[in-house]
Amino acid sequence: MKKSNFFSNRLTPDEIYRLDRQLRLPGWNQEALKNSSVLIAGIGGLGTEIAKNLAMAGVGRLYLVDMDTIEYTNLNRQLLFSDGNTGEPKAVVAARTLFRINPHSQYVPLFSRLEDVDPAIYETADIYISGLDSVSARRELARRAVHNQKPLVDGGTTTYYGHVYSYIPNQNACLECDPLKERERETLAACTLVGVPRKRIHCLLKGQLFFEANHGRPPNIHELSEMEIVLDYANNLIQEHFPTDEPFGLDEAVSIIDHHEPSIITINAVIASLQSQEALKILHHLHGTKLGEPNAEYTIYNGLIGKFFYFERPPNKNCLLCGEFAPPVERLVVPSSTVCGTLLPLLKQKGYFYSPDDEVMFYRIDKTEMELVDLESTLSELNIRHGETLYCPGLTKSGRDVDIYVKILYPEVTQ
Amino acid sequence: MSEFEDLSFDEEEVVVDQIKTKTPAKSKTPAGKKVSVYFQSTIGPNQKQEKLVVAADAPIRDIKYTVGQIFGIPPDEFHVSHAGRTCDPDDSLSNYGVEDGDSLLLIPVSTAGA
Repeated sequence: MKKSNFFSNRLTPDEIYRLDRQLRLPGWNQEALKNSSVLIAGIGGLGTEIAKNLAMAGVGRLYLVDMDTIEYTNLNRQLLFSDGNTGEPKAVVAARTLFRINPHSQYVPLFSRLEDVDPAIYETADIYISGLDSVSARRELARRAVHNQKPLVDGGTTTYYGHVYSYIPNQNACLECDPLKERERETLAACTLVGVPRKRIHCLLKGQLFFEANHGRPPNIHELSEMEIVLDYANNLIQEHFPTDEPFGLDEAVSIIDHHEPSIITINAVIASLQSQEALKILHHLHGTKLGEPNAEYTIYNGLIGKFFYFERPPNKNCLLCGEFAPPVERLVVPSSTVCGTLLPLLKQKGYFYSPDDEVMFYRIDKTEMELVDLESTLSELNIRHGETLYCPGLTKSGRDVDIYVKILYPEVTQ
Repeated sequence: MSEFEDLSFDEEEVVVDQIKTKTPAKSKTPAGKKVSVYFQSTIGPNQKQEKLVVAADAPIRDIKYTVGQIFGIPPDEFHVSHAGRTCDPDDSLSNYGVEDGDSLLLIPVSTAGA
């Protein structure tokens, strides 16, 4: 007999009544969703909408990862938060609100950086969804997706535009397939500001540093007298180094010093809904129900003209993360009492060799700070967690030099 | 008094030598490879397409600078995308195998999670 949404013993009678209208959808498999777990990275404009959608749709478990606390300026678009919540962790408040929206699912708040989330969670979650606002966090999540072979539904917005892109392992490009070397705004190193300013903007940043050096704190952008100090310093530099350039005005200086991306709920809601719908389809597929077809193309929404654009993103075979020559991931199932040095003969068994003169090293990379593994300790003594990835450079296989990733899995958890 | 008053246009005729046109058998300037491509916007308040001839070896950063002006979009607000690959501004179009007639998309730099 075919599975029935209405007579599933995985769902409580109350749940079946609550979800009645969607249980009538053709091709729908509520049980598959109930058995699913999703990791949502970033509980902001996109993340709150996605979490709301998936919670209401009855996805069994949501891991909510966010390292930030709620600010008053979030409230124009992040519906899981309200006035009284400012200062509280987004992940925690979101979990609480979601439980009120649908108490039949589990919400796991993770008030943490992506790097520090327990690797077992990355192993467990069926898919990852990103509502992130930084390139570095995206790269971190992209690596986890490729290494754990999990689909990653990425979304992003800027002003009236947005994009949705689902990375589907072994099918389309991962997020590292583009050789994009662009650096993030915040990574402007302090050293670029030492000495002669090379760009007009450096003058303003130097003005800001000048203020900080004299007052021991950043300038208050709402205080005219403080902004004037910054501007005076900046515009003197401009006169000296860029005499043909315009001096900075007050509004320009405020928007640069107090930098925030513009953001509106409508664009967020469109992008988040598309991400949620793709996620629901992918979850169906992962659980053996072919509901529609996940969109493997990069989708752009232009809210100014109300139009969508699509293009394919074929995988890059030279990609350093998912390409032919990327370091492979070897999964080793070993008890936690194993001495780390024993990993070497295990790798030898898998065809990896190393020169006996060289010391082979393993690095822990699933954390904020990379760490060298002491080969004489056991895995548990070093608190190496189930699902953790170690990086091991300088091996050879079939006569070729290779670096590899080793994923440690504990049989007591795996079984 | 107008400053133009002193100017007189009929003082003397400047006789210009007759220009002899001659098409050289080979171009004397050793030109780099150019490609004729279609730039299409996905962002901005209207949909736009421009056919432009660009130097295949020029930094994409430079191309963005010019194309941005033609489309009225600041260069740091879009990426150039070719065949599904987002182009690095430090590379050139030849790095991406761009050929005559190809389409290049101007796509948003939508990295905000908002």
